[in-house]
Amino acid sequence: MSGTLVQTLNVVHGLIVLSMPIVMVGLVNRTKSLWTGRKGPALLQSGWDLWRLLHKRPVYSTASTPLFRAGAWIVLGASLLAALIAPVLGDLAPLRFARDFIVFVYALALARLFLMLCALDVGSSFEGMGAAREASFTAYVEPALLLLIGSAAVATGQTDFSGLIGQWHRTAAFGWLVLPVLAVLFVLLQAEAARVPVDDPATHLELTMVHEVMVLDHSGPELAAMQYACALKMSLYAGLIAALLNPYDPRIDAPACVLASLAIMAGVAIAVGCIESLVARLRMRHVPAYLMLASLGAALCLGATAWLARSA
Amino acid sequence: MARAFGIVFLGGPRDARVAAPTEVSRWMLLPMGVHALGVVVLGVLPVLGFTLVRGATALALAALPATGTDVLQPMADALTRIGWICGALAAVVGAGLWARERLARGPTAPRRATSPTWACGYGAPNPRMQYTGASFSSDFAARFGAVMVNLRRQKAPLGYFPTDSYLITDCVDAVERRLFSVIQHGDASAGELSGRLHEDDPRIAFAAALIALALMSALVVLAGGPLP
Repeated sequence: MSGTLVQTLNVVHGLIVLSMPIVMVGLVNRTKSLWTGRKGPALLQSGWDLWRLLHKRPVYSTASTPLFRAGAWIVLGASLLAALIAPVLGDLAPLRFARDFIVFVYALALARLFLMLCALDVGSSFEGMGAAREASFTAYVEPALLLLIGSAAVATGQTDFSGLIGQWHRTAAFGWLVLPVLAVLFVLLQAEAARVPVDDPATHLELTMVHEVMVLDHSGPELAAMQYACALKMSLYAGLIAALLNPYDPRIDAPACVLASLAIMAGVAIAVGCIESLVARLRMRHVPAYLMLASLGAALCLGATAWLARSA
Repeated sequence: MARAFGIVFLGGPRDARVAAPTEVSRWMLLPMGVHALGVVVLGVLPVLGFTLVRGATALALAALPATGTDVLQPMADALTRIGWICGALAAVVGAGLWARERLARGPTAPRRATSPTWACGYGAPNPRMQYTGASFSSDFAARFGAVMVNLRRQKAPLGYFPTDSYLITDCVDAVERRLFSVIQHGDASAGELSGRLHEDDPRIAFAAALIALALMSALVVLAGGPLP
Protein backbone atom coordinates (compact mmCIF):
# COMPACT_ATOMS: atom_id res chain seq x y z
CA MET A 1 0.00 0.00 0.00
CA SER A 2 1.43 3.37 -0.97
CA GLY A 3 2.24 5.92 1.67
CA THR A 4 0.02 8.48 -0.04
CA LEU A 5 -3.05 6.28 0.34
CA VAL A 6 -2.29 5.71 4.03
CA GLN A 7 -1.90 9.43 4.60
CA THR A 8 -5.12 10.14 2.71
CA LEU A 9 -6.98 7.56 4.77
CA ASN A 10 -5.53 9.06 7.95
CA VAL A 11 -6.85 12.47 6.89
CA VAL A 12 -10.24 10.89 6.16
CA HIS A 13 -10.10 9.26 9.61
CA GLY A 14 -9.52 12.70 11.14
CA LEU A 15 -12.40 14.24 9.18
CA ILE A 16 -14.74 11.42 10.20
CA VAL A 17 -13.71 11.73 13.84
CA LEU A 18 -14.28 15.50 13.81
CA SER A 19 -17.56 15.56 11.88
CA MET A 20 -19.38 12.41 12.92
CA PRO A 21 -20.04 13.51 16.54
CA ILE A 22 -22.27 16.27 15.19
CA VAL A 23 -23.91 14.07 12.56
CA MET A 24 -24.47 11.20 14.98
CA VAL A 25 -26.14 13.41 17.59
CA GLY A 26 -28.31 14.80 14.79
CA LEU A 27 -29.24 11.29 13.66
CA VAL A 28 -30.10 10.22 17.20
CA ASN A 29 -32.29 13.29 17.73
CA ARG A 30 -33.94 12.92 14.31
CA THR A 31 -34.68 9.23 15.00
CA LYS A 32 -36.22 10.06 18.36
CA SER A 33 -38.31 12.79 16.75
CA LEU A 34 -39.58 10.45 14.04
CA TRP A 35 -40.61 7.90 16.66
CA THR A 36 -42.69 10.60 18.35
CA GLY A 37 -44.29 11.76 15.09
CA ARG A 38 -42.27 14.94 14.67
CA LYS A 39 -39.89 16.00 11.97
CA GLY A 40 -37.21 16.96 14.46
CA PRO A 41 -34.21 19.26 14.29
CA ALA A 42 -31.81 19.47 11.37
CA LEU A 43 -29.04 16.88 11.23
CA LEU A 44 -26.36 19.49 11.90
CA GLN A 45 -28.30 21.34 14.60
CA SER A 46 -25.88 20.23 17.34
CA GLY A 47 -23.05 21.76 15.31
CA TRP A 48 -24.86 25.11 15.25
CA ASP A 49 -25.52 24.77 18.97
CA LEU A 50 -21.81 24.23 19.59
CA TRP A 51 -21.00 27.25 17.40
CA ARG A 52 -23.45 29.35 19.41
CA LEU A 53 -21.94 28.19 22.69
CA LEU A 54 -18.43 29.00 21.47
CA HIS A 55 -19.48 32.63 21.02
CA LYS A 56 -21.14 32.95 24.40
CA ARG A 57 -19.60 34.55 27.44
CA PRO A 58 -18.71 31.89 30.02
CA VAL A 59 -19.86 32.25 33.61
CA TYR A 60 -17.61 30.67 36.22
CA SER A 61 -18.52 29.69 39.73
CA THR A 62 -16.88 31.84 42.39
CA ALA A 63 -15.82 28.60 44.07
CA SER A 64 -14.03 27.26 40.99
CA THR A 65 -10.28 27.19 40.48
CA PRO A 66 -8.17 27.32 37.29
CA LEU A 67 -8.58 23.53 37.14
CA PHE A 68 -12.22 24.08 36.22
CA ARG A 69 -11.30 26.34 33.29
CA ALA A 70 -8.68 23.92 32.00
CA GLY A 71 -10.67 20.75 32.71
CA ALA A 72 -13.09 20.95 29.79
CA TRP A 73 -10.25 21.35 27.29
CA ILE A 74 -8.29 18.48 28.84
CA VAL A 75 -11.41 16.30 28.53
CA LEU A 76 -11.68 17.30 24.87
CA GLY A 77 -7.96 16.83 24.20
CA ALA A 78 -7.87 13.38 25.81
CA SER A 79 -10.99 12.30 23.90
CA LEU A 80 -9.41 13.47 20.63
CA LEU A 81 -6.24 11.53 21.47
CA ALA A 82 -8.34 8.40 22.05
CA ALA A 83 -10.10 9.03 18.74
CA LEU A 84 -6.76 9.13 16.93
CA ILE A 85 -5.86 5.68 18.29
CA ALA A 86 -9.26 4.02 17.81
CA PRO A 87 -9.74 2.56 14.33
CA VAL A 88 -12.64 3.62 12.13
CA LEU A 89 -11.53 2.46 8.68
CA GLY A 90 -10.67 -1.19 9.10
CA ASP A 91 -7.28 -1.75 10.68
CA LEU A 92 -5.96 1.77 10.09
CA ALA A 93 -5.52 4.59 12.57
CA PRO A 94 -3.37 7.74 12.50
CA LEU A 95 -1.71 6.86 15.80
CA ARG A 96 -0.67 3.25 15.83
CA PHE A 97 2.05 1.45 17.80
CA ALA A 98 2.52 -1.66 19.89
CA ARG A 99 0.22 -1.85 22.93
CA ASP A 100 -1.37 1.50 22.08
CA PHE A 101 -4.68 0.23 23.49
CA ILE A 102 -3.30 0.99 26.94
CA VAL A 103 -2.92 4.64 25.93
CA PHE A 104 -6.46 4.51 24.51
CA VAL A 105 -7.90 3.23 27.79
CA TYR A 106 -5.91 5.72 29.85
CA ALA A 107 -6.80 8.64 27.55
CA LEU A 108 -10.48 7.90 28.15
CA ALA A 109 -9.76 7.53 31.88
CA LEU A 110 -7.95 10.90 31.90
CA ALA A 111 -10.95 12.53 30.26
CA ARG A 112 -13.25 10.94 32.82
CA LEU A 113 -11.00 11.98 35.71
CA PHE A 114 -11.02 15.64 34.67
CA LEU A 115 -14.75 15.52 34.06
CA MET A 116 -15.20 14.39 37.67
CA LEU A 117 -12.62 16.88 39.02
CA CYS A 118 -14.43 19.74 37.29
CA ALA A 119 -17.68 18.56 38.86
CA LEU A 120 -16.09 18.47 42.31
CA ASP A 121 -14.31 21.80 41.83
CA VAL A 122 -17.44 23.93 41.97
CA GLY A 123 -18.44 22.46 45.32
CA SER A 124 -21.99 21.56 44.39
CA SER A 125 -23.37 18.56 46.23
CA PHE A 126 -25.34 17.43 43.18
CA GLU A 127 -22.31 17.59 40.91
CA GLY A 128 -20.33 15.62 43.48
CA MET A 129 -23.10 13.02 43.40
CA GLY A 130 -22.81 12.84 39.61
CA ALA A 131 -19.04 12.43 39.91
CA ALA A 132 -19.56 9.61 42.41
CA ARG A 133 -21.90 7.85 40.00
CA GLU A 134 -19.47 8.31 37.13
CA ALA A 135 -16.62 6.83 39.19
CA SER A 136 -18.82 3.96 40.29
CA PHE A 137 -20.00 3.15 36.76
CA THR A 138 -16.43 3.35 35.46
CA ALA A 139 -15.45 0.52 37.78
CA TYR A 140 -18.00 -1.67 35.98
CA VAL A 141 -17.27 -0.50 32.45
CA GLU A 142 -13.48 -0.57 32.21
CA PRO A 143 -13.14 -4.34 32.79
CA ALA A 144 -15.49 -4.92 29.85
CA LEU A 145 -13.29 -2.88 27.49
CA LEU A 146 -10.07 -4.52 28.67
CA LEU A 147 -11.53 -8.03 28.48
CA LEU A 148 -12.77 -7.29 24.97
CA ILE A 149 -9.31 -6.10 23.95
CA GLY A 150 -7.91 -9.28 25.50
CA SER A 151 -10.29 -11.37 23.41
CA ALA A 152 -9.21 -9.55 20.26
CA ALA A 153 -5.55 -10.04 21.17
CA VAL A 154 -6.03 -13.78 21.65
CA ALA A 155 -7.95 -14.05 18.38
CA THR A 156 -5.71 -11.95 16.14
CA GLY A 157 -2.28 -12.03 17.80
CA GLN A 158 -1.93 -8.30 17.06
CA THR A 159 -0.55 -5.82 19.57
CA ASP A 160 -1.92 -2.51 18.29
CA PHE A 161 -5.51 -1.42 18.79
CA SER A 162 -6.39 -0.85 15.14
CA GLY A 163 -5.01 -4.26 14.22
CA LEU A 164 -6.87 -5.92 17.08
CA ILE A 165 -10.26 -4.52 16.09
CA GLY A 166 -9.77 -4.18 12.33
CA GLN A 167 -8.49 -7.71 11.76
CA TRP A 168 -10.75 -9.53 14.18
CA HIS A 169 -13.37 -10.26 11.52
CA ARG A 170 -10.76 -12.18 9.51
CA THR A 171 -10.38 -14.83 12.21
CA ALA A 172 -12.30 -18.08 12.05
CA ALA A 173 -13.90 -17.68 15.47
CA PHE A 174 -15.36 -14.25 14.77
CA GLY A 175 -18.63 -15.64 13.45
CA TRP A 176 -19.35 -17.17 16.83
CA LEU A 177 -18.48 -14.02 18.75
CA VAL A 178 -19.77 -11.19 16.59
CA LEU A 179 -23.09 -10.74 18.39
CA PRO A 180 -21.76 -10.72 21.98
CA VAL A 181 -18.86 -8.46 20.95
CA LEU A 182 -21.29 -6.02 19.33
CA ALA A 183 -23.52 -6.10 22.40
CA VAL A 184 -20.57 -5.34 24.70
CA LEU A 185 -19.39 -2.47 22.49
CA PHE A 186 -22.93 -1.07 22.35
CA VAL A 187 -23.26 -1.10 26.14
CA LEU A 188 -19.84 0.58 26.39
CA LEU A 189 -21.07 3.25 23.96
CA GLN A 190 -24.17 3.84 26.06
CA ALA A 191 -22.11 4.13 29.24
CA GLU A 192 -19.32 6.32 27.83
CA ALA A 193 -21.60 8.63 25.87
CA ALA A 194 -24.19 8.89 28.67
CA ARG A 195 -27.09 7.50 26.65
CA VAL A 196 -30.29 5.69 27.63
CA PRO A 197 -30.65 3.29 29.48
CA VAL A 198 -27.50 4.14 31.47
CA ASP A 199 -28.05 7.89 31.52
CA ASP A 200 -30.57 10.27 30.01
CA PRO A 201 -29.13 13.32 28.26
CA ALA A 202 -32.59 14.92 28.09
CA THR A 203 -33.48 14.70 31.76
CA HIS A 204 -34.06 17.87 33.76
CA LEU A 205 -33.96 16.34 37.23
CA GLU A 206 -30.55 16.54 38.88
CA LEU A 207 -31.27 13.56 41.10
CA THR A 208 -31.37 11.25 38.09
CA MET A 209 -28.50 12.77 36.11
CA VAL A 210 -25.00 11.41 35.69
CA HIS A 211 -23.17 13.25 32.91
CA GLU A 212 -25.45 16.27 32.67
CA VAL A 213 -25.24 17.04 36.37
CA MET A 214 -21.44 17.15 36.16
CA VAL A 215 -21.54 19.89 33.51
CA LEU A 216 -24.29 21.98 35.14
CA ASP A 217 -21.86 24.77 35.98
CA HIS A 218 -20.18 24.79 32.60
CA SER A 219 -21.20 27.44 30.14
CA GLY A 220 -20.11 28.98 26.87
CA PRO A 221 -17.05 27.46 25.19
CA GLU A 222 -16.35 25.09 28.11
CA LEU A 223 -19.83 23.61 27.80
CA ALA A 224 -19.30 23.26 24.06
CA ALA A 225 -16.04 21.37 24.70
CA MET A 226 -17.75 19.03 27.18
CA GLN A 227 -20.71 18.32 24.91
CA TYR A 228 -18.51 17.77 21.88
CA ALA A 229 -16.24 15.44 23.87
CA CYS A 230 -19.28 13.39 24.95
CA ALA A 231 -20.50 13.14 21.35
CA LEU A 232 -16.96 12.31 20.27
CA LYS A 233 -16.92 9.32 22.61
CA MET A 234 -20.16 8.08 21.06
CA SER A 235 -18.74 8.33 17.55
CA LEU A 236 -15.51 6.73 18.77
CA TYR A 237 -17.32 3.59 19.92
CA ALA A 238 -19.49 3.64 16.81
CA GLY A 239 -16.24 3.81 14.84
CA LEU A 240 -14.99 0.71 16.67
CA ILE A 241 -18.17 -1.13 15.67
CA ALA A 242 -17.67 0.10 12.09
CA ALA A 243 -14.06 -1.09 12.04
CA LEU A 244 -15.18 -4.43 13.41
CA LEU A 245 -17.93 -5.00 10.85
CA ASN A 246 -16.48 -3.28 7.79
CA PRO A 247 -16.14 -5.99 5.12
CA TYR A 248 -13.89 -3.89 2.85
CA ASP A 249 -10.13 -3.69 3.10
CA PRO A 250 -8.99 -0.05 3.05
CA ARG A 251 -5.84 -1.13 1.21
CA ILE A 252 -7.83 -2.59 -1.70
CA ASP A 253 -11.08 -0.66 -1.89
CA ALA A 254 -10.67 2.55 0.06
CA PRO A 255 -13.83 4.43 -1.11
CA ALA A 256 -16.08 1.46 -0.35
CA CYS A 257 -14.41 1.05 3.05
CA VAL A 258 -15.03 4.72 3.91
CA LEU A 259 -18.65 4.60 2.78
CA ALA A 260 -19.27 1.34 4.65
CA SER A 261 -17.82 2.78 7.86
CA LEU A 262 -19.96 5.90 7.56
CA ALA A 263 -23.06 3.78 6.91
CA ILE A 264 -22.36 1.54 9.91
CA MET A 265 -21.78 4.55 12.17
CA ALA A 266 -25.02 6.08 10.98
CA GLY A 267 -26.75 2.76 11.66
CA VAL A 268 -25.37 2.74 15.18
CA ALA A 269 -26.72 6.27 15.74
CA ILE A 270 -30.16 5.22 14.49
CA ALA A 271 -30.03 2.16 16.78
CA VAL A 272 -29.19 4.43 19.74
CA GLY A 273 -32.12 6.67 18.80
CA CYS A 274 -34.50 3.72 18.49
CA ILE A 275 -33.48 2.34 21.87
CA GLU A 276 -33.89 5.75 23.48
CA SER A 277 -37.37 6.00 21.98
CA LEU A 278 -38.53 2.53 22.94
CA VAL A 279 -36.77 1.78 26.22
CA ALA A 280 -37.02 3.70 29.46
CA ARG A 281 -33.92 4.68 31.31
CA LEU A 282 -32.95 2.07 33.92
CA ARG A 283 -33.42 2.77 37.59
CA MET A 284 -30.15 3.92 39.07
CA ARG A 285 -29.67 0.81 41.20
CA HIS A 286 -30.09 -1.43 38.15
CA VAL A 287 -27.46 0.34 36.04
CA PRO A 288 -24.45 -1.43 37.68
CA ALA A 289 -26.03 -4.82 36.91
CA TYR A 290 -26.53 -3.75 33.28
CA LEU A 291 -22.91 -2.65 33.02
CA MET A 292 -21.68 -5.79 34.76
CA LEU A 293 -23.51 -7.82 32.12
CA ALA A 294 -21.19 -6.18 29.57
CA SER A 295 -18.14 -7.22 31.61
CA LEU A 296 -19.55 -10.73 31.97
CA GLY A 297 -20.19 -10.88 28.22
CA ALA A 298 -16.64 -9.71 27.52
CA ALA A 299 -15.24 -12.31 29.94
CA LEU A 300 -17.25 -15.03 28.15
CA CYS A 301 -15.90 -13.74 24.82
CA LEU A 302 -12.36 -14.02 26.15
CA GLY A 303 -12.94 -17.55 27.41
CA ALA A 304 -14.62 -18.61 24.17
CA THR A 305 -11.87 -17.07 22.06
CA ALA A 306 -9.18 -18.85 24.04
CA TRP A 307 -11.07 -22.15 23.80
CA LEU A 308 -11.68 -21.79 20.05
CA ALA A 309 -8.05 -20.77 19.44
CA ARG A 310 -6.84 -23.80 21.38
CA SER A 311 -9.13 -26.24 19.62
CA ALA A 312 -8.31 -24.85 16.15
CA MET B 1 -28.23 14.50 62.72
CA ALA B 2 -28.58 17.33 60.20
CA ARG B 3 -26.46 19.55 62.42
CA ALA B 4 -23.77 16.87 62.79
CA PHE B 5 -23.75 16.31 59.03
CA GLY B 6 -23.45 20.04 58.43
CA ILE B 7 -20.56 20.37 60.86
CA VAL B 8 -18.62 17.34 59.66
CA PHE B 9 -19.15 17.38 55.89
CA LEU B 10 -20.27 20.87 54.96
CA GLY B 11 -17.88 22.72 57.22
CA GLY B 12 -20.59 24.65 59.04
CA PRO B 13 -19.10 26.38 62.11
CA ARG B 14 -20.22 25.14 65.53
CA ASP B 15 -20.11 28.65 66.88
CA ALA B 16 -20.27 32.11 65.32
CA ARG B 17 -17.08 33.04 67.20
CA VAL B 18 -15.10 30.42 65.36
CA ALA B 19 -12.63 31.98 62.95
CA ALA B 20 -13.74 32.07 59.34
CA PRO B 21 -12.37 29.08 57.41
CA THR B 22 -9.48 29.82 55.13
CA GLU B 23 -7.20 27.76 52.96
CA VAL B 24 -4.14 26.29 54.70
CA SER B 25 -0.79 28.01 54.35
CA ARG B 26 1.41 27.52 51.31
CA TRP B 27 3.90 25.58 53.43
CA MET B 28 1.27 22.91 53.96
CA LEU B 29 0.27 22.92 50.29
CA LEU B 30 3.87 22.63 49.12
CA PRO B 31 4.36 18.92 50.00
CA MET B 32 1.12 18.05 48.25
CA GLY B 33 2.26 20.05 45.26
CA VAL B 34 5.60 18.23 45.19
CA HIS B 35 3.81 14.88 45.31
CA ALA B 36 1.39 15.96 42.58
CA LEU B 37 4.27 17.17 40.42
CA GLY B 38 6.05 13.84 40.83
CA VAL B 39 2.92 11.95 39.87
CA VAL B 40 2.38 14.11 36.78
CA VAL B 41 6.04 13.92 35.71
CA LEU B 42 6.13 10.13 36.06
CA GLY B 43 2.76 9.87 34.35
CA VAL B 44 3.73 12.05 31.41
CA LEU B 45 7.26 10.64 31.20
CA PRO B 46 6.93 7.01 32.33
CA VAL B 47 10.33 6.23 30.89
CA LEU B 48 11.88 8.16 33.80
CA GLY B 49 10.34 5.71 36.26
CA PHE B 50 11.46 2.82 34.09
CA THR B 51 15.02 4.20 34.03
CA LEU B 52 15.07 4.15 37.83
CA VAL B 53 14.36 0.42 37.98
CA ARG B 54 15.98 -0.65 34.73
CA GLY B 55 19.35 -1.48 36.29
CA ALA B 56 17.84 -3.62 39.04
CA THR B 57 15.55 -5.36 36.52
CA ALA B 58 18.50 -6.09 34.24
CA LEU B 59 20.33 -7.68 37.19
CA ALA B 60 17.30 -9.89 37.93
CA LEU B 61 16.91 -10.83 34.27
CA ALA B 62 20.61 -11.71 34.02
CA ALA B 63 20.04 -14.40 36.63
CA LEU B 64 17.46 -16.10 34.38
CA PRO B 65 18.38 -18.42 31.52
CA ALA B 66 19.31 -16.31 28.49
CA THR B 67 16.48 -15.96 25.96
CA GLY B 68 18.50 -14.10 23.37
CA THR B 69 16.07 -11.20 23.15
CA ASP B 70 16.31 -7.86 24.85
CA VAL B 71 12.98 -7.38 26.59
CA LEU B 72 13.85 -4.09 28.24
CA GLN B 73 14.67 -2.01 25.18
CA PRO B 74 11.26 -2.48 23.47
CA MET B 75 9.63 -1.54 26.77
CA ALA B 76 11.78 1.57 27.03
CA ASP B 77 10.92 2.46 23.41
CA ALA B 78 7.18 2.04 24.05
CA LEU B 79 7.35 4.15 27.21
CA THR B 80 9.35 6.83 25.39
CA ARG B 81 6.71 6.93 22.65
CA ILE B 82 3.95 7.19 25.27
CA GLY B 83 5.91 10.02 26.90
CA TRP B 84 6.06 11.88 23.58
CA ILE B 85 2.32 11.44 23.07
CA CYS B 86 1.52 12.60 26.61
CA GLY B 87 3.88 15.54 26.19
CA ALA B 88 2.27 16.45 22.87
CA LEU B 89 -1.19 16.24 24.44
CA ALA B 90 -0.07 18.45 27.35
CA ALA B 91 1.53 20.91 24.91
CA VAL B 92 -1.56 21.09 22.70
CA VAL B 93 -3.92 21.58 25.64
CA GLY B 94 -1.53 24.09 27.22
CA ALA B 95 -1.19 26.04 23.96
CA GLY B 96 -4.97 26.04 23.55
CA LEU B 97 -5.48 27.35 27.07
CA TRP B 98 -2.82 30.01 26.57
CA ALA B 99 -4.44 31.13 23.33
CA ARG B 100 -7.83 31.19 24.99
CA GLU B 101 -6.51 33.31 27.88
CA ARG B 102 -4.94 35.72 25.39
CA LEU B 103 -8.16 36.01 23.42
CA ALA B 104 -10.17 36.49 26.61
CA ARG B 105 -7.99 39.48 27.52
CA GLY B 106 -8.37 41.15 24.13
CA PRO B 107 -10.09 44.54 23.85
CA THR B 108 -13.08 43.12 21.99
CA ALA B 109 -13.44 40.01 24.12
CA PRO B 110 -16.51 39.81 26.37
CA ARG B 111 -15.74 40.13 30.06
CA ARG B 112 -15.85 36.96 32.10
CA ALA B 113 -18.64 36.69 34.58
CA THR B 114 -18.64 34.93 37.90
CA SER B 115 -21.53 33.81 40.00
CA PRO B 116 -22.16 31.43 42.90
CA THR B 117 -22.30 27.77 42.02
CA TRP B 118 -25.39 27.39 39.88
CA ALA B 119 -26.40 23.80 40.51
CA CYS B 120 -29.04 23.34 43.13
CA GLY B 121 -28.25 21.63 46.40
CA TYR B 122 -25.74 22.89 48.94
CA GLY B 123 -24.09 25.83 47.26
CA ALA B 124 -21.84 27.35 49.91
CA PRO B 125 -18.54 25.49 49.70
CA ASN B 126 -15.71 26.43 52.02
CA PRO B 127 -12.25 25.07 52.87
CA ARG B 128 -13.62 23.09 55.80
CA MET B 129 -15.78 20.92 53.57
CA GLN B 130 -14.74 17.32 53.55
CA TYR B 131 -15.17 14.92 50.71
CA THR B 132 -15.50 11.26 51.40
CA GLY B 133 -14.64 8.44 49.06
CA ALA B 134 -17.39 6.25 50.51
CA SER B 135 -19.97 7.29 47.96
CA PHE B 136 -17.64 6.33 45.12
CA SER B 137 -17.00 2.88 46.42
CA SER B 138 -19.96 1.89 48.57
CA ASP B 139 -22.04 0.57 45.66
CA PHE B 140 -19.09 -1.37 44.29
CA ALA B 141 -18.16 -2.73 47.73
CA ALA B 142 -21.77 -3.77 48.38
CA ARG B 143 -21.88 -5.87 45.22
CA PHE B 144 -18.46 -7.43 45.66
CA GLY B 145 -18.55 -7.76 49.44
CA ALA B 146 -18.04 -11.51 49.18
CA VAL B 147 -14.59 -11.14 47.61
CA MET B 148 -13.57 -7.81 49.12
CA VAL B 149 -12.85 -8.60 52.75
CA ASN B 150 -13.49 -5.48 54.77
CA LEU B 151 -12.04 -5.56 58.27
CA ARG B 152 -13.88 -3.28 60.64
CA ARG B 153 -12.95 -2.43 64.21
CA GLN B 154 -14.92 0.07 66.17
CA LYS B 155 -15.50 1.28 69.66
CA ALA B 156 -18.50 3.52 70.06
CA PRO B 157 -18.52 6.34 72.63
CA LEU B 158 -20.44 5.31 75.72
CA GLY B 159 -21.74 7.25 78.71
CA TYR B 160 -21.77 10.95 79.49
CA PHE B 161 -17.98 11.28 79.46
CA PRO B 162 -16.88 8.76 76.87
CA THR B 163 -13.30 7.65 76.63
CA ASP B 164 -11.52 7.12 73.34
CA SER B 165 -13.66 5.85 70.52
CA TYR B 166 -12.59 4.81 67.08
CA LEU B 167 -13.70 3.33 63.80
CA ILE B 168 -11.10 1.56 61.68
CA THR B 169 -11.99 -0.02 58.37
CA ASP B 170 -9.52 -1.77 56.13
CA CYS B 171 -10.30 -3.43 52.83
CA VAL B 172 -7.72 -6.16 52.61
CA ASP B 173 -5.65 -6.05 49.47
CA ALA B 174 -3.23 -8.97 49.34
CA VAL B 175 -0.86 -7.30 46.88
CA GLU B 176 -0.87 -4.02 48.71
CA ARG B 177 -0.39 -5.79 52.02
CA ARG B 178 2.67 -7.62 50.71
CA LEU B 179 4.09 -4.38 49.38
CA PHE B 180 3.51 -2.42 52.52
CA SER B 181 4.46 -5.19 54.93
CA VAL B 182 8.07 -4.82 53.73
CA ILE B 183 7.95 -1.10 54.42
CA GLN B 184 6.29 -1.72 57.78
CA HIS B 185 9.01 -4.21 58.75
CA GLY B 186 11.70 -1.74 57.69
CA ASP B 187 9.99 1.03 59.61
CA ALA B 188 9.67 -1.15 62.70
CA SER B 189 13.35 -2.14 62.49
CA ALA B 190 14.41 1.49 62.07
CA GLY B 191 12.23 2.47 65.01
CA GLU B 192 13.71 -0.27 67.17
CA LEU B 193 17.23 0.75 66.19
CA SER B 194 16.61 4.41 66.88
CA GLY B 195 15.18 3.45 70.26
CA ARG B 196 18.47 1.82 71.20
CA LEU B 197 20.48 4.84 70.07
CA HIS B 198 20.89 7.88 72.22
CA GLU B 199 19.02 10.47 70.25
CA ASP B 200 20.50 13.33 72.21
CA ASP B 201 24.02 12.45 71.02
CA PRO B 202 24.59 14.15 67.64
CA ARG B 203 27.71 12.06 66.94
CA ILE B 204 25.75 8.83 66.89
CA ALA B 205 23.02 10.38 64.75
CA PHE B 206 25.64 11.69 62.34
CA ALA B 207 27.37 8.30 62.16
CA ALA B 208 24.04 6.51 61.58
CA ALA B 209 23.12 8.95 58.81
CA LEU B 210 26.56 8.49 57.22
CA ILE B 211 26.21 4.69 57.26
CA ALA B 212 22.71 4.92 55.77
CA LEU B 213 23.97 7.27 53.07
CA ALA B 214 26.86 4.93 52.24
CA LEU B 215 24.48 1.96 52.06
CA MET B 216 22.08 3.77 49.77
CA SER B 217 24.94 4.94 47.54
CA ALA B 218 26.24 1.38 47.31
CA LEU B 219 22.80 0.10 46.36
CA VAL B 220 22.44 2.78 43.68
CA VAL B 221 25.88 1.95 42.25
CA LEU B 222 25.22 -1.80 42.31
CA ALA B 223 21.83 -1.34 40.66
CA GLY B 224 23.69 -0.36 37.47
CA GLY B 225 25.25 -3.82 37.30
CA PRO B 226 28.30 -5.59 38.75
CA LEU B 227 31.37 -3.48 39.29
CA PRO B 228 34.16 -3.91 36.72
